[in-house]
Amino acid sequence: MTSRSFGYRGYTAIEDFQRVLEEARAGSEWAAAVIFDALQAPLLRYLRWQEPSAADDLAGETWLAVAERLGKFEGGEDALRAWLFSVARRRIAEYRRRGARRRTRPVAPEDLAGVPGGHDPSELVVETLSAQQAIDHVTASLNPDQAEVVVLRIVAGLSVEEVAHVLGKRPGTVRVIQHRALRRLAQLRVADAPTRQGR
Amino acid sequence: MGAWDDLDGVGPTGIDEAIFEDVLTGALDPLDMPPAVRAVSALIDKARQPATSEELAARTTTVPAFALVAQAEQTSAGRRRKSASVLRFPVRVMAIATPVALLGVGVAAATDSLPSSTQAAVSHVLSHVGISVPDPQAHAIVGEPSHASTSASVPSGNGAVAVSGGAVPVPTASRSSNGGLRGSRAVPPPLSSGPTHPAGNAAVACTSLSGNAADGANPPTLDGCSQVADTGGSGVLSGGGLAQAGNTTVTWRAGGTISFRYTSTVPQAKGDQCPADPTSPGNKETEVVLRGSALSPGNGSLRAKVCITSTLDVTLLPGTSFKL
Repeated sequence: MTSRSFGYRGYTAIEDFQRVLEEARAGSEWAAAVIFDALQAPLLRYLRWQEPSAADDLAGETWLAVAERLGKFEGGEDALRAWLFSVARRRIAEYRRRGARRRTRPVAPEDLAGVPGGHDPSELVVETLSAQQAIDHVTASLNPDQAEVVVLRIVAGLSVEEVAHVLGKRPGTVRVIQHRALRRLAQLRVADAPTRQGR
Repeated sequence: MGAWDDLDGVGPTGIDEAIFEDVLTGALDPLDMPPAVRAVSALIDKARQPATSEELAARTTTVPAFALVAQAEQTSAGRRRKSASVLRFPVRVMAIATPVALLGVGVAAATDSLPSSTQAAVSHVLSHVGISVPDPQAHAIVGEPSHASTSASVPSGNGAVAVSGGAVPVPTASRSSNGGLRGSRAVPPPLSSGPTHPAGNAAVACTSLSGNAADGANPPTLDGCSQVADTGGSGVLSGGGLAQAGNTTVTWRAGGTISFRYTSTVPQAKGDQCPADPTSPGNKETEVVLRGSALSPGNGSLRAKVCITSTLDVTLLPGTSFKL
């Protein structure tokens, strides 16, 4: 049960994925743990970005839904990752249809002081941000379509083709959306953007 | 100074697709990015940082549940069924019950038996992942000792199939083949000693329910029951409480008993009508609808709407009664 560096910096990939998958299908807890450890953080970050108040429950539902259909799954780790986020996205849609929670949630005024998005981006101190706060900053200036494409690329680590599959769009459309998003993001300034001299 | 630092001031229009792709995939360190995208690259790098312990906190509950469901599905290959209630059942309830189940694994391994309270919790969890597990407390009613087998049986159309050895804390589980939650077929229903329904087959309605579905010392108790002459006004439910599909027996204060086989479902149409859960701030208690039919004596039915906290305390849905 080991993992190695993944192409996307910061994440790990599952070593000997097919064996892990087979063991997970058979109900092996260690194999389930390997998959969980590799994908839980991006899943939770995506869900918290989408539905902060229900993210933990939605993550649990997503994992159980995946477990229930794991026997039918075929593919490699990238395919599993894309499938996981497809399931998560359906859970979010279902959750919103149920109307159990509103898309937005009321926040007490005093809580806003700690929200990084309330500050001028030029005052941001990247080192102090959590992953979730960084996601919020990255997506703050984007429209919903752009934001979801970017989050699925940077958080979920999906390719353009996988994002297109998850969102039900054509890859070309996703490329256009992501290009516009990045041109907008390129205007973002952060006070402590790393420099050779400053590090 | 990096390769790009002498290009400070170059606008976004100077960034090509390949660099954008590098930004998105984190292929390069932000320091190696052109200045125009260095800031956003640093943010994206931050967004992609390794998992924190907080983010993996659900591991202890999600992983065992994942493994259990995957195994059950594997075993029932060809007869998969959609168990929507599983997926919608709040994980917070599972989060309470699963550690208890895990505790039971160790106990079972050491003593070859699961404590009845643990079994009740395990049964509760499994009833919502499509598996109904008999409750040892139901056997205690008729004097049988708790037992534990480390295998699970899953009817799959061709009869029961052994599922596992040791790894799964499931004593003698059976799985519905039609997709619904229901009482176990693996163990005969409990037989009460002198089953009597109050006032013959007349219905009894109780206005209060209290207790805990997994705590044998504080079992679910009905109060405010009609037919006082026969019920004594109250009764105690045994057989694992109300949070599972299976069998339960009501022992009336007046002395009689009645046994039921029941199923529990999480209502979808109207949503959860239960009040806020005092044991889980920000969440509601979980509403579970119980339906059942009498086993002994053979007439009568059971209907109730129950609210369950994250610690498995049970009460009636406000404004409803427990009907027998």
